[in-house]
Amino acid sequence: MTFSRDTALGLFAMALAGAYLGAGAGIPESLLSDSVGANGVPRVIGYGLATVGLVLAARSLWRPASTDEDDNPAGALARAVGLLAILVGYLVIVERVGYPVSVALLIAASAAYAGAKPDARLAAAAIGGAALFWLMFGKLLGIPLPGGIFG
Amino acid sequence: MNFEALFASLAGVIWGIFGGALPGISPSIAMALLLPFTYGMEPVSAIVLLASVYVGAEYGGSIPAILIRTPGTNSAAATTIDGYEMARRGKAGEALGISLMCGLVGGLFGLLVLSTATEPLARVALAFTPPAYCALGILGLSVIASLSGGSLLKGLIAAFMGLMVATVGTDPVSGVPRFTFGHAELLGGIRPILVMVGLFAVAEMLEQISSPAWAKADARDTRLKLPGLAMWRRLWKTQVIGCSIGTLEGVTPGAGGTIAAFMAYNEAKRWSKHPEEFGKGSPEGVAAPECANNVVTGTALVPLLSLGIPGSNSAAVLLGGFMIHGLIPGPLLFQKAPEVVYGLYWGLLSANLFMVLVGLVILNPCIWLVNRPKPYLIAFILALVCTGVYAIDQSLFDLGLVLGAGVVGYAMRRFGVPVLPMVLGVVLGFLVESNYRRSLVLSGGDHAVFMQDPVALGLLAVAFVLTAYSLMREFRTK
Repeated sequence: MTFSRDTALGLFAMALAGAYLGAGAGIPESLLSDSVGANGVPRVIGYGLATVGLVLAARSLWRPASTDEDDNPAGALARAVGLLAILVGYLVIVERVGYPVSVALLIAASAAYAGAKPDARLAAAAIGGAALFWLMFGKLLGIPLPGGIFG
Repeated sequence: MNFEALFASLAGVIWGIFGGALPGISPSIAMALLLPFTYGMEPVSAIVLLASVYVGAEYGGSIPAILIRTPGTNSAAATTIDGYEMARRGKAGEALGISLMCGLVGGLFGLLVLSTATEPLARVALAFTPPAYCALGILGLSVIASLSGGSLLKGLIAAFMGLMVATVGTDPVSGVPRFTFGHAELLGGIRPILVMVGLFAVAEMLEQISSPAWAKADARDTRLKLPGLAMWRRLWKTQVIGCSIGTLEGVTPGAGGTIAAFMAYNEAKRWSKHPEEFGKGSPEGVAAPECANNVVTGTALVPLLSLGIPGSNSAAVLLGGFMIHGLIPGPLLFQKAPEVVYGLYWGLLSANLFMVLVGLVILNPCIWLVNRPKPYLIAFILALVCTGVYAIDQSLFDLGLVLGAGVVGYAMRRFGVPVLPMVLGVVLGFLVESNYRRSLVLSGGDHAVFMQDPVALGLLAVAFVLTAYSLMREFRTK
């Protein structure tokens, strides 16, 4: 028996199904409810997911797939986490700092993180891009964007 | 059709393509943004303007789907599968050309159906009861097997995850909150477009950040390429499939372009001489969904014009446009204001032709844009995603959901789990559950209602045959 990615996926599916069924058990009953109930369909989905996860995990233990290799090394995961951190950073500051500044920072940070040189071209792209998006969404489409430090 | 209406058609198409290409601006939002401007317009021009936005937006959604793996609209999700694969193989211009011309074929066919068969098709719309809607959703889910990319178990895991997302929000029958964990933002459920943008665009950027730089594209690959005679010959069957499914789904209120696109993709794969190319950059894989979702722009207006039933958000905005001018869609519209109905037909015809003209002008610059240096492209895609998502409801919570979906999408790639069954689950989950339960409420809990309704029974039988066929093929190839 070998523990593979499919085994991990199967076990994860079972755990997710368990958490989902657990959360579903807390759905309040209503006097307006029908014969199926608010938790009826979620129960079917949860048990369905658990069953498929179990079959996948069992199959991968007894009959491991021949191409079950990790072609995505840990370095790639770290790079992805770094980019995600930049996006979360944008999410945290956009309301406080305001849209134009935040989106300029997002463009500059993510481009630099992806390999752009921190030079005048990058600064121009960040400022120009922020202005373009602000004009397009804020002015042309009339969408209220967070003002932040600009009120 | 006067000059003002013709100009309205051109302006509507340009605005629609622009809006549809921006993630977060759905066709109905693009139409709604123009609604206030129609007050002072002639009724024909106003209706033509709104209908042209719809045509343009449905097409525009496929541009980012092909170029940056970000569907601009829900119905463009199926186009990302082979459109983006073609773009990755240096065939972005060819994919966009196929999408444009098959969109034109679909749009014109939809218009033909709308203008000649509105009355008989309206009866089809009336025949749809809750059991039939439930069966329609199950028919849509039956394509999961062929979207699973060779691993049915993983496809099922993805589909169940999508169905789980679809259960978040207020219960459709009793009204109690489910899986909202105290967040008021979740009471209305999770919009499918948020999940799609996360699964496709954010996950792709997380993947690309550690991939080597893209090879410089050949100049020939960065130009729009319209399909030649040989390609048309290859695609004719696909377009027949797209037109048939687009007609059926379009006339059914609530079905819409997304289900049509996925089903057309599935059937095109089933009937193709090269099914092995699907998912790896098949031209038919672009043609089928593009044709189907553009047919829907015409056929979705059948229930609106004939019965006054808006079958989609976009049709509801169009209904608003009619009402602003004191017009009530329905059987009497053809007697009371025939000039508006025929003006709309001419407007849709010109909108489809303008779609090609505008497409020919803007697609080359779009291809040029996505061939800019990778770091800048990643940065601008992320900025577009963050801004577009915020534009939907001005909610940072939504942006958090998109990032979460992006992480899930990235993890699914690492574990070799296909994302499309999850998208299908998210899109169809609510339709299936709400109509299943409504059917049981109406029948007093008797499941025989699904066998007694002829439309439901027919759709369930087709779903069963399609699933059995897909499973047989899956097991035979192993």
